[in-house]
This record gives sequence, C-alpha cells and structure tokens, in this order.
Amino acid sequence: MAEEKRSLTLNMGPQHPSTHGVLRLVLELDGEVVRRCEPVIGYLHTGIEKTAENLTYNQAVTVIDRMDYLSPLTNNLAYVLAVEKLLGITVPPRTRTIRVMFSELSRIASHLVWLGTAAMDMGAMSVFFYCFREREKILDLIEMTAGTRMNPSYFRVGGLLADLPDGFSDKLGALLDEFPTWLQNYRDLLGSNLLWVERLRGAAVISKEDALAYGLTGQTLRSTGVDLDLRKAQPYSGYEDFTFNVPVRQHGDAYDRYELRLEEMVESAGIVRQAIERLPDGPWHIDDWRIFPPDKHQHVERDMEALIYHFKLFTQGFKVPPGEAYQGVEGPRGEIGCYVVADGTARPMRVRVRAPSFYNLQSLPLMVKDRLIADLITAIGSIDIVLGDVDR
Amino acid sequence: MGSLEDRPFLLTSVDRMLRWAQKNSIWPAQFGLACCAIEMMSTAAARFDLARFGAEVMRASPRQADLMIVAGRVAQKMAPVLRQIYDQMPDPKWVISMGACASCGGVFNNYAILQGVDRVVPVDVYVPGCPPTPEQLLDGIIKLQQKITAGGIPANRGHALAQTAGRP
Amino acid sequence: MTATGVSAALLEAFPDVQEEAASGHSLLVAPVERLVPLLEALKGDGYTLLVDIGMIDHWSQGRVPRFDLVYILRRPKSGEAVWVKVKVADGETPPSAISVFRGADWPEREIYDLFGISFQGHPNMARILMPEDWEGHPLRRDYPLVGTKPSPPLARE
Ligand code: SF4
Repeated sequence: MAEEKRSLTLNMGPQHPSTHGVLRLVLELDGEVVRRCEPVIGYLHTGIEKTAENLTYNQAVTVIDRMDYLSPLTNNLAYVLAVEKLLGITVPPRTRTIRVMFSELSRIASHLVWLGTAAMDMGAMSVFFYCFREREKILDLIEMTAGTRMNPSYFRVGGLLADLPDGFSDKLGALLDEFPTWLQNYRDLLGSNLLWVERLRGAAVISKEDALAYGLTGQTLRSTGVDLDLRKAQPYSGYEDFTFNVPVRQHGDAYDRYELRLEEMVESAGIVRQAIERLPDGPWHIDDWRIFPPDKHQHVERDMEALIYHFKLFTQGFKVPPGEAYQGVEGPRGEIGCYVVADGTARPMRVRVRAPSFYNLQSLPLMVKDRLIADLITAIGSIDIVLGDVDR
Repeated sequence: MGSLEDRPFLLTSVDRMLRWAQKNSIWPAQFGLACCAIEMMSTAAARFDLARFGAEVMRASPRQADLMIVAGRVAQKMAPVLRQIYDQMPDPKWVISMGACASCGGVFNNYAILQGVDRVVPVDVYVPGCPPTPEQLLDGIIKLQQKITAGGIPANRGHALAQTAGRP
Repeated sequence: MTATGVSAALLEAFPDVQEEAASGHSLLVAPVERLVPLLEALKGDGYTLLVDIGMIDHWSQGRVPRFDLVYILRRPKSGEAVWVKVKVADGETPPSAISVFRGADWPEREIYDLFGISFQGHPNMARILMPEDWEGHPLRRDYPLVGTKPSPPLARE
C-alpha cells in the first residue's frame, strides 16, 4: 500500500503543563512540524470588565488586580491613573514615587515567575526553585506593606492603601544589595547552558512589521528593534524623573526576549534604588475626604464630620464627572491600558482593559508556523502570557 | 522461613496500612487556573516545600494523580473540562478547593464564573483566602491527610454510601 | 507632518472626520464608511501600532446610535496615541480592520462575542471568550451581571 501523507490534528490543553494556565491549542501536525496552530481561549474568562462596572470606583481596584495576577500592581496603576485623570487630581510626589517603586518590584517578581516557568518548560527544573525563592523576598515586602502577598490592591484612587511600614527601606536595601547575585546565578545556570541557548536562538521569530500590525508590545516588540517603552515615550506617575535604559534587540527571537527580560530586571532594580533613595517626605494621599477616606485614628474616631465622609465613601463611593480617559502603562508583558468611561455616577460605566497578553498570544500561530513542536513550547514561554490577562 | 523472633515485624490491618501509604504519598494533578495556581507553585517551591508532606509529585496527567487542587476561578467554559479531568483520575481521589473563587465564586459573582467548583465535582477540603497563602494550602493538605488517616470517605463516595444505607 | 498629533494633510483629505478635544491623545470621530480608509491613512502617517479596539455601550443613557467603537493607534517612535471613534447602531455591521491591521482579528471577535456587533469581511466571526453555545452578549449594559442561567446544584459524585 502506498504511503499516504496525512496531517494529524492534536489538541493541546486546556490543561497542559506548558501552556502556562488554561490555554488550549489546536495543532495541525505534519510529523513533528506544526502546520497550523490555533489558540482557543476563554477558559479563564472571568467577566472582570462587567464586574467592575457594577462596583464603585474604589471597589473596582480589587477586581482589576486579579487580571494579570503576576503583576497586579501595574494593572492597579493603569486603572487608578485613568480614574485620577477623569477626576482631574494629581497625587503627591511621595505617592507617585512609591507607586513607581512597587510597579518595578512587581515587574521583577513577574519576570522571576516567567524565568522560572519558562526554564521549567525547557526541563531546567532548578531555575524554578531559585526564582521562586527570590520572588518570595519581594512578596514579603509587598506583604509587609499591603497586607497580602498577591493581589494587594495597594494603589487607590487618590493615594495608596497605607504608607510604607517601619523598617521597609532596610529590608528593601538588603534585597537590592543581593539582587546582582541573583542575576548572576540565573546567567550562570542558563546563559552558559548550551541546551537553553540553542533552543531559544532563532525560535519564535517575528518581524518588526508583523509585530506592529499584531499590536505586540513589551519585550516581544522590543526584541524586534522597536524601542517603544511607555515609561520613556509617554511617561506617567513621574517616570520622567528616573534614569534608566530601555534595552532593545534586533532578532525578534526567543533568546532576545530572554536577554531583554534579564536586562530589564537590572534596570528595574536601578529604578527601585533611585526611588527609595530620594523618596520624598510628605503626604501619601490627596487631602480630599470626598475621594480619599480620612485617617481612622486621627479623624474618624474624633470628628463626626470625618465619620460621615468615611461612611459615605465606603457605602456610596465618590462620583466621577462624565468623560472618558485612557491610561496605558508599561507592564511586565507590554502595554496594559485601561480606559474608563464615567457617566457621572459613583460606578464606572465601562472599564475596558487593553491586555498585553491577549495581543501577544494572537501572534503565536505566526511564530510557530512550519516549526517543530518543541519550538512551540519555547514560543509560548517566550511571549510570557498570563491567561488571566488574556481572558479577563 | 525462619522464626519470627529474629525478624522485625509490625502488626496492622491492611486497611490502616493502605491509608498510611495513601496519606503520605498524595500525588496532586498539576492543574492551575488563576492567581491561586501561582500560590500553589509557591507552595511547591523552595520556601514552603510541599515535599515535607509527601505531596510534591505534581503529575501532569490526571491518570497518575489522586488529588485535584482546584486552584483558581472556574469559568463556565472550563467547567466541563474540569469535570472531564476529574473523571480521568483513578479512584480513590480527593479534591481540594483552593481559594475563594473555587469555593464559592469569590469576588466574582457574575455570569462567567461558576459559583463554586462543588457544583461540578465533590470537594473534600475547602481552603479559604484570595489567594490562600501557601501555609493555608499546606494546612488544607494536612487536613486532608487527617481525613485519610481517620478513614474518612472521599467526598465522591460519601453520597453513594449514604444512599445505600438509606440515609438522605 | 506636524510635530505632534495627526498630520494636517491627512485631516484635509478626510473632511467628514472631526477632530475633538481629548486629554493625552488625538481623537478623531469618523463615519462608519470612512473607517478603513482612515485607518489606512493613519497607518501611513506613522501610527503603525494597533493598540486596542474597544467598544462602549451607551444603553443606559438611551443614546442612538447605541455603541462607540474605539480604535487606539500609536506611533512606535514617539508613543503618541490617536483614537478613532465610530458610532455604531445596534445591528449595524462595521467593516473589519483586518486588511489594515492583522491584529484586529481577535479584538473584533471579542467585540462580537461580548457585544453582539459583527464585522463585515472578518474571516472567522465566532465567539472567542464565551462557550460557543452561549446565549446573549454579556458586556451589553442590559445583560444581567449574574447571567441568565441559574447556578447548577451541588455535585455529589
Ligand atoms: S480566590 Fe482570589 S486569588 Fe484565587 S483565583 Fe480567585 S481571585 Fe484569584
């Protein structure tokens, strides 16, 4: 019997160890070569946008957190900045600096999870343990400040949940001091590992034109030679006061993205150090009881008026004048944008989130077409998707 | 066979022996959904070290697992898949519902999220929190171990047994 | 090309497109039939990065036409953004932007899925986030938050 050439359709996921969550891929294989790849998403669709419409502006912060759960604070930042734009308020310098500091810390934490899991996909198990060990130290800082390790909802409209606790800067300083050794460890473990380098080089390539047309942002875009980083291009929350570089690569492959993320961690650590060194004193929230609740011990317990404001704020929320605002911030995966449409009531009429992972994932079929299935695993790892961000 | 005197031996019932083995070698299915899954990974990682409780062998295939940790929110689209994975696990099997979302829908009382994973699979241990800290998950696993040692019946059997006994 | 914002020549070529005031970006309001040519022209003007396509439902204000379709583009060099806004009535089918930006594929499907507006010329207008047999379009303002189906009973075995 003459051998007939047939392709095999394979379903990968939604429960698969290397799909970073609940991603499902329908693959058409010719032997080991991927001829067609179709991501099927929605297995983690949470209705966050709809839920946010039914909450008051401050309550919505908590659900926005839970989208990109590896870096909740950058989601928070996009949202609170958009609402603050609508309200026309500016927060004090101390708040701005603390926000920058925590955004960068969560960027590092997010990249650590990425590095650990991407390496685990390639079979390098031990990197995972190192990365998570070190991520714990960042989570400790977040926990001591905001009370929880993940999803802290630390940024609030008009300020923060709380000021930095005592002993924070010492702990942070210790972390920053040992940070270079972490990086050295990863470079030793991976950079000189031939398997790692060979599997990443030339895998998951995308051209500059495609990257732009597909709406890619973050490292995936910067690996193709476009140096768009919103922190530099359209600074927000006081990023213009910090000195840092935006690393860029040219090949558009997985290896470039790996290098970019490591370099970005160094830059982020630099920003954190600058932030803590010149952290301004002064208030950490705006002084307007209609928007930011009065302090419990100082006012609410002593002053009837403050109590009323506090009560009204937490039962009804504050009203936002009609209008629409968009704020894009550079998250660990690319541009997280939040646009908020207000209709004059205490609840947003529409909260739309521009999720970087959603767009980045869309380009996956292009990256893996006519490549080996092993490269597919590399590709999924290299675009660093978070399914919560994709499906929202 | 020599005499019993020069060989160490242990008296137990087969049942207890089995339970002891089951308790100390729980194999969870590697199955993460959302934010809680990241905390589950932290639990398995260096600091919290799930291996201390014999439950670190995360299996990628449900056919090799006897514990399903539902870590995160279950979307309507995911619910049938989750049930299928559960059905693929061999008996006896247990389910830990990790986090507010898996237990009751959490902060998402909306069209997209299943209001509690116990609507598709029977749950043995509920772990509260959003996300539960790794310590909480460890506590949940220890609770499950206690349940196994005590001879508790897995949630999926309890109902059937109760029915045969004529109870509601 | 002007230093910032959309170039004057482009605006001249589209007399039916209005530029409106907005904070932090340029905002163009276009009629639906001019959408694709306008996006094309903006792409030629340097706005080559498709940032997002979104939809706003003005049902609660009872506005007609009911929806705002928003395209956000960016110049990768400077990061400047432009919004293109198109008013769409319920049941209307705006043209798909895939011919200009291939990345429009998923966001358009998402809008179809969650708002029930389908796009003309889209190769695969299917649900993307919700299950295929889902009824209704959840992000419409008149869709109840908790959905339309009751929660299933507890599973016992
Ligand atoms: S319980 Fe909280 S942390 Fe866990 S999946 Fe739900 S939202 Fe995320």
